Amino acid sequence: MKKKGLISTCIILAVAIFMAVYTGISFNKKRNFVEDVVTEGSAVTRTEKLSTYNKYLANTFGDVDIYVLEGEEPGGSALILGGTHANEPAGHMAAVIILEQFKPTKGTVYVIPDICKSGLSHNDPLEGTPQYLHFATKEGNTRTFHFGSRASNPIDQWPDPDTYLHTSGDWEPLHLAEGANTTQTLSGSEVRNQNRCYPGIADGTLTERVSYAVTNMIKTLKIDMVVDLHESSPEYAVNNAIVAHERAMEIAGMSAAITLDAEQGIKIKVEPSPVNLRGLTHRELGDYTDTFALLCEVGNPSQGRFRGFTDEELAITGKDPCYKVASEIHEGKLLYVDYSSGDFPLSLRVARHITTVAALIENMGYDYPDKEILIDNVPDYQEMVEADDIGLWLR
Amino acid sequence: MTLTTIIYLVIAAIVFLSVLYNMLTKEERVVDKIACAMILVPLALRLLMIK
Amino acid sequence: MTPYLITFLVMVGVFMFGCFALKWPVGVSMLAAALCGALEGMLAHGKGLGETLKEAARMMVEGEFGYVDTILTIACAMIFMKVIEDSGALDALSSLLIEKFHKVPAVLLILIMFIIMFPGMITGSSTAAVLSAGSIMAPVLLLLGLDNVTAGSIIAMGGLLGMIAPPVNTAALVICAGIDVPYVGFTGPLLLLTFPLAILFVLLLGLPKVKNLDYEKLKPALEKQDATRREYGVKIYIPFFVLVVLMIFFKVIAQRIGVEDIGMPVIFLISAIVGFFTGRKINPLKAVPEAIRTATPVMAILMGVGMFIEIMTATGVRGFIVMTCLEIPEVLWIIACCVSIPLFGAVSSFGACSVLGVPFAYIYGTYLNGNVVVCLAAISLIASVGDMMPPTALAGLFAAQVTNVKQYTKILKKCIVPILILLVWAGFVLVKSKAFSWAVFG
Repeated sequence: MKKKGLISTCIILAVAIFMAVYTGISFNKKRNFVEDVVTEGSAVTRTEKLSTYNKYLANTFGDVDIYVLEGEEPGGSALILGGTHANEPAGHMAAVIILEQFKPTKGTVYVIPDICKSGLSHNDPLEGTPQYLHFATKEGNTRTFHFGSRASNPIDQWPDPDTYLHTSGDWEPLHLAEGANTTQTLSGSEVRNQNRCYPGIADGTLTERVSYAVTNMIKTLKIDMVVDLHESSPEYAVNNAIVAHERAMEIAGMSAAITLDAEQGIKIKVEPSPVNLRGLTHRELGDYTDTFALLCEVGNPSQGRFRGFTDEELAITGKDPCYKVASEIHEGKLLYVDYSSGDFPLSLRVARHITTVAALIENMGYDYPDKEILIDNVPDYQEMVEADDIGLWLR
Repeated sequence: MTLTTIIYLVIAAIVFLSVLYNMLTKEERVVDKIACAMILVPLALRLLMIK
Repeated sequence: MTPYLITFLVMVGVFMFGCFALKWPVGVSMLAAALCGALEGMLAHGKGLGETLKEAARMMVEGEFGYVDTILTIACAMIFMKVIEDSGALDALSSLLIEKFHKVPAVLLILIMFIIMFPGMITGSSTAAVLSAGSIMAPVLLLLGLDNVTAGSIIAMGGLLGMIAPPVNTAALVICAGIDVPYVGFTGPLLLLTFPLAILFVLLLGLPKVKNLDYEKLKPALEKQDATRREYGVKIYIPFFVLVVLMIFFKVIAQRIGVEDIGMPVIFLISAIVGFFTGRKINPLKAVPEAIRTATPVMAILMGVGMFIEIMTATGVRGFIVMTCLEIPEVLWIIACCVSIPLFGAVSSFGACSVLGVPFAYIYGTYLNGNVVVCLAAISLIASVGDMMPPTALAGLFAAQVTNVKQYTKILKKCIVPILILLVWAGFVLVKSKAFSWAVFG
C-alpha cells in the first residue's frame, strides 16, 4: 500500500474505531441503566421476580420485579402492566406512579412498570428518539427514566425470522370466540413485540418467555383484572380508548360512560378486542385465563408518523407543529385526538391512564363485590393535568 | 444464546473480516474506504453484542 | 414547518452535491447528508454544539442498525452468486433451459419470469429475487438474444413483482403492523395485482427479441455451456436444488411444524458451500472477499440510508414530507400516493411503507371507507417501485450487476413504461378497492 493510502486508511480506521467505541459506550450505558423505583413511603408490601412464574426466565434480561401492593383486607386483585411498548412513555410512567402512590386498603394490586425491560434497554433504529426522560421531583431531585423501543432488544433475540407465525404454545383456551383463529402470520420483527407474543411460550424467545410468565402469573394467582397501559399515534383510530375483551366490556363501558365521562368529563371510547388479532393482552389473556383483560390507549405525538423534531421535549410536552397542521387540514379528520391546543402533554396522558385504571378497578368492585379493591391516595386527575408536571408525583 | 444466533455471529464475522481485508488491501479511493468503515462500525457492535 | 424545509433542503442538497458534483459513492453522500442535516437541524432547534455532536453520532450509528440484517443477506447472496458463476453451474443451467424450451419462446419467457419472482414471493425481498434467481436466469436471457439492458429490466421488474406477490409481502406486513390489521386475506388481491403484470411485462420487454429464435444459429454460442454440462452432469445443478428446497422448507413449511426459520443468509451460504463441491474448483479464501467487495457499495448504500432516515426523523424532515403530501387536496391524494411513496422509496421502499404507506392506508382504508386489505395490497405494489428509484434503486442496481450493465440508469429508463403501467393499475385498484373485495378470501 502506498504511503498516502496507508495514512488515509489509518485515519479512516481511527475515526471508525472512535465512533464504535463512543457509541458503544452510549448503547452499553443505556443497556445497563437501572431506573430507581422508590418504594420507601409507598404501599409496596413485597416484591417478587417474574421468573417465579416461568423458570426459563430466570437469569435472563427479561426477569423483572413484580411490585405487590397488598391491602390489609382481602379482596380482589388487579395487575397493571407498564412499559410493554417502551416508546410509549405514558404507559411506563403511569405504572411507576401507580406503584409509588396507590395505597390499597382492600384487595391487592400488582404492578410491573417495566414488563418489556429488553425494549427499555435500547431505541428503535430509524426513529430518531431520545434515550432517556428526566423529571424533577418535589424535593428537587432528578429522576431519570428510559425512553425505549417498541420491541425487545435484538441482542436478546437475534435474528428475526422473515415472518412470525404467532401460536398459543401449550396453552388451552378457556373463552375462545366461535370461529376464532388461534394462529396468525405477522411481520418478522413482531416476534420481538411483547404485545404480539401472548399467551407466550415457556421456553420460546425471551419475549415469549415474558408473556408466558405473565399469563401463568395471572392463572396461578387468579388475578381478577389485568390492565395493559399503552399509547398510540394521534392518527391511529384506536385512540383515547379502552380496548376490552368481550368478558370485560361491561366493566369498560360503565367506567367510560359513568365514572370517567359523566363524573369527570374525561371522554374515552370503548373498543371491543378484535377476535382475530392474535398475541395481544386484551385478546389472549381474556381467552386463555379467567381475568378481565383490558388495554388503555392514549394519544402520543412522539411516536406518530406525522411528527416533527423528536426529542425529550416532544415526548414530555407533546407540542409539535406538524401535528398542529394535521389537526387543521381536512376538517381535522386525520387525527383521532383533540390536538386543537397544539399539545398533548405527558402529564395529561399519565393522568388519563391513572384515572382510567382507578375507574376500571372501582367498577369491577361494583359488578363483582367479591372482587372489590379499595384504593386510597389515587392522584387527582384535574390536579395532575393542571400541574402539568408528573415529577410532582414521583417520590 | 441460540445456535441460530451463533451462526449469524459467524456470518457477521466473515463479512466483517472480508470488508476489513478489502479496505486494507484492495480499496484505493478514500471514499471507498469510508464506505467500508460505514459497514464495519455496526458489525463490530453487533459482534460484541452491544447493540 | 419552515425549519424542517430548510433541513430537508440541506440534506438533499448535500446528497446531490456529493453524488453528482463530487462523484462520491451514494452511501458516502448519504452519510455526508445525514451529518449536515443533523448539525443544521439540531443547532437550529436550539441544541448546544456538544449535545448536537453527541446525539448526531449516536443516531447515525443507530440508524445503520435498521439494515444490519439486510446487509448480511446481501453479502451471503453475493457469495452464492460468485460460487454458481465460478463453478460453472450458471453456464450449465442456461444451456439446459434453452435446449428444452427454445420451440416455445413465449412460454420460456413466462417460465423465466416466474422463476425470477419465486425467491421474492417467499422472502418478501426484491433483492433476494434479483440476486438468486435473477442471477441464474440472466445468462439464459442473454443467450436467448436479449441485450443486457432488456434482460436486466425483466429481472428488475420480476424482482419487484416477486416481492409483492404472495405468500410473503414484507411491504404489506410493515403497513399491517402500522395500522394493526392482521395479514389475512391478502393472497387473492396480491395475485390479481402481480401475476397479470408479470406476464405482460416479460412479453412486452422480451418477446419481440426472442419470438424468432433460431436454436441452430444459437448453438455455437452455447459450446462452452454445453461442455460444462457434459463434464459435470447432473451434480452441477445441486446448489440450485438445495436453494429451492431450503427456501420452500423454511419459508413455507418450517414454522408450521415448529422448526425455526434459519433465514436467507444461511440458506444462501449452505447452497454456496454445496456449490464448492459440485463443479469447477473454487478457492473460498479468494472467492468470499471478492464477493463481499462486489456487495460493498450496496451495503454502504443501506448503511447510508439508515443514517439518512434516522436523522430525517429526528430533525422533523420525515414529518414535514408526510404533512406536505397530506396537505394536498383530497382529489389529488391518489397522485400524491403514487408519486410520493415511490419517491420516498428512493431512500428505502420499506421506509416508504412505514412513513407514507401507513398514513395513506388510513386514508383509503378507513377515512375513505375502502376495502382495507385491497388498499394495503395496492399500496404495497406502489411502494415496490421505490426499489427502482435512484439513487438507491436496489432492484435496478442489482439487476444491472447480474447482467453486466455498467449504468443501471439504462435499466431504469427501459422500465419506465412498465412502471407507469404498474402505478396506473395499482392506483386504480386502490381507488376502486371496494370493487375488488371479491378477491379477498382466507
